[in-house]
Amino acid sequence: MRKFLIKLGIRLSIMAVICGAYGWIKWSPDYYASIPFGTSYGKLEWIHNKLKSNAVKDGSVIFLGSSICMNSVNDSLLGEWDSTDLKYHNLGLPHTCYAIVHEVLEDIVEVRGIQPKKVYLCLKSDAIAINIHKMYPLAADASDILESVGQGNVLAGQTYFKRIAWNNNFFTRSFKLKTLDSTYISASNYGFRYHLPIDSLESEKNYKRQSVISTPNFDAIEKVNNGESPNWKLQLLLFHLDWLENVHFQKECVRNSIALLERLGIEYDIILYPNLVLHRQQRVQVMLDYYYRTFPEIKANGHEIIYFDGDYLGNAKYWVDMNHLNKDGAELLTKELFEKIK
Amino acid sequence: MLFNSFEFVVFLVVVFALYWGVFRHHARKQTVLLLVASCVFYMFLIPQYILILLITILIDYFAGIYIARLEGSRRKALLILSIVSTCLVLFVFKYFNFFIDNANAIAHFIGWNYQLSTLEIILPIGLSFHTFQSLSYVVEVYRRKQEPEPDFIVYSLYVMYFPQLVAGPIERASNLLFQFHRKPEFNYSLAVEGLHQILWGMFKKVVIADVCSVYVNHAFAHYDQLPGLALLMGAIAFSFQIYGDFSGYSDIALGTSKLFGIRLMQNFNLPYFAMGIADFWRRWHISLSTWFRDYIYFPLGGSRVKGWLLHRNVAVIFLLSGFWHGANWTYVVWGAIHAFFYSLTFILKSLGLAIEAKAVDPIWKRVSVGLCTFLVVTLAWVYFRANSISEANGYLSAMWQAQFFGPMAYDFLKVLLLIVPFVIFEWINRHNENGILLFRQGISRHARFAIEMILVLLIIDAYYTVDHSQFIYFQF
Repeated sequence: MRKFLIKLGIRLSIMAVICGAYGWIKWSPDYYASIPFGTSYGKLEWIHNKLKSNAVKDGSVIFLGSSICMNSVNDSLLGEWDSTDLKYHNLGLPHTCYAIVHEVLEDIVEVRGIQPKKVYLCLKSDAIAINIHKMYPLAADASDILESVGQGNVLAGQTYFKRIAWNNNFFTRSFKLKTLDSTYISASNYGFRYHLPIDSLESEKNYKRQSVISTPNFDAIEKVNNGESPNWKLQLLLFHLDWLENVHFQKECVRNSIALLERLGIEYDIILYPNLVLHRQQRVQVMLDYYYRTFPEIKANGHEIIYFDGDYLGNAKYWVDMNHLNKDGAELLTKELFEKIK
Repeated sequence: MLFNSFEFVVFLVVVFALYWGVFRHHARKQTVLLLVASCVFYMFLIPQYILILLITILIDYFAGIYIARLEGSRRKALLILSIVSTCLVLFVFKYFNFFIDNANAIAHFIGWNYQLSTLEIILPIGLSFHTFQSLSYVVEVYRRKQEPEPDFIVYSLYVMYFPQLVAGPIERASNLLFQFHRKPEFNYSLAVEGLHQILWGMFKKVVIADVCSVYVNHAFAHYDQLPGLALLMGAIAFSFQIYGDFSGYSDIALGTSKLFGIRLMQNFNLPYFAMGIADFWRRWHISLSTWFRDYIYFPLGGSRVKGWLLHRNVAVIFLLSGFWHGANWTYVVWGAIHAFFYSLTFILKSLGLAIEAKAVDPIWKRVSVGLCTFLVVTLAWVYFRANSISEANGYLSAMWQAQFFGPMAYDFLKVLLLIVPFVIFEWINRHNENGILLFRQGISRHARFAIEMILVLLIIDAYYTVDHSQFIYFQF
């Protein structure tokens, strides 16, 4: 038994070292960017190609964030309305994995050394993302993943395995069938795209369903904002979210982005994206307070969070779900945004 | 709990440490530990379903004891009662809705508008496997080939032993019970063999089966748009998906059991190298085919009877085997295809044209017979995989009618890059148990480690880059 355990231990240790080294390999950025083509994360390749072709130049304005940013900020309209030569680039990604957003920002401003005139970091109104997206190891290399351990990434081990898997995929992709979803193929080659509209009655139904879930969350956040100490149930939930569902690390990534932009002296602002429940209940301040409380560095560095207060945001006919605006909504939001940032 | 999950790795490490560490000198406690671990393993999905398992265990435990005591017609009556009650559980959970659906369809056909309602239930995982295992025990006790097990803990473990609980092998009491009574001694070489077999099983499931499943799912979802070559490759990919999936599961089960010093029966023996359908069934899901042979085929007269009775016996076991796999006519058609070709073997034999599996020479003849067998098996698998008979017919007719080469045909050929090296590896290992002996003999320690390392990297790769699916046989 002893012999078995010792031999097994030695063998597993050697395998762990080899696997660790294997994860350290860096194939060309084109390879990693090509993997999500035709998937819901195909935008990663689109951004890579855009940056590679030098379409994003020094002095431009960049928007970074999740799908809410990706499908709501019409950068072409901003360019049209702006009488100067300023270029606007919406580099939002689908899903809300802020860890990936930070890696994209790092790629732009640090690896490629692009000096944007301004960067807008866009945050969701209802929550910070949980867990970590499986595409994260395509944007982050082995050293980033190891660093993330120190920042509380509880899924770092699994993420490292994914990095090893994508590295090995370099050799094995030849026998894997790549099934490309035509919807995502078009998304992969498309920068800004409006969400498909849905019936406003359906949107109302969505609101009723979602407000049942969201309202108690906003109530709880409001209580904590007002200085009430959370009860044990809420504490347990927050602990679960922060440490078991990785929210703590996602928050760290927002802080890292702020710190990076500060360090490089790049102008930036934070945008709080709207949410139907929040706006209809007129509780935007709740989430503003939450983000100021969660990220004190925003105020400490002399920044304000840009938020939206147009009446249209409480009307279900401008939404496709609680977080995503349809074409009309996105155009109104882009207009409001332009008024605020011009 | 899935074998290819992180939870299972943690579970196995904990049970192994308790079994050989804490309870090493307490045989009884080791047995209880395995039973408790089996309960935890089973309850991971739907905890309350353990009650169903408990009912089956109680019925057959007491049936075994009383059948051994009784004589004459009462003995037989008790056997029948036990079989009926055990099968009733299987019927309610697995076949009731199927019969109701068919009754409703017939009623609708003849113009009755009354519709019977179906049950809203989920099939308990591995129900068909542990039901058959319980039945085999009762029948063996009835035949006086097996002493009834007086120890309820040991009998429960026989039915519930976690490595083989959800998808077999369907063990016989004569192979398993005595091992539970024996004082466990840690066997180094058996444990090493177990780990290698787990590794090989994981490779077959995660790399072979799951990578093939992407081709299969795409081919079956778009069979009306794909060229014939892609559909042929899709069907071949399914042959290897189901083989990698099920034999991979069996390897993990056998390997896990070896870690506890318990040997389970071999369930697969390179079925795609079979020379004829009869030979295929000696190599595929051996524990099920021998179950049908021993408890259905032989009592009906087996191959000792002549004429139509022989073909009836063949039809009975294959139709039942098809039905065992699932409550869907596609499985019945799959069984009927095998029955047809199995019967054909007897007809050819009577005409002096039989192919004896062990003596097919020269090599070209062996390869031809092997390929023909594989082709028949592959075409039958189309019915097994399809959601309906019409879908299977559509798939097969599209294979012949559609343009053979066309868009995606060459993409589908890529599956051969995976399958061909796998087949060659299995061929090299054809004389070894489950293709794992290569790890142990004839190569240097460093080369062996290199092979293990490559397998580990391929498993990590496929696990995270391909959508992994549940084991196919868990649904049965």
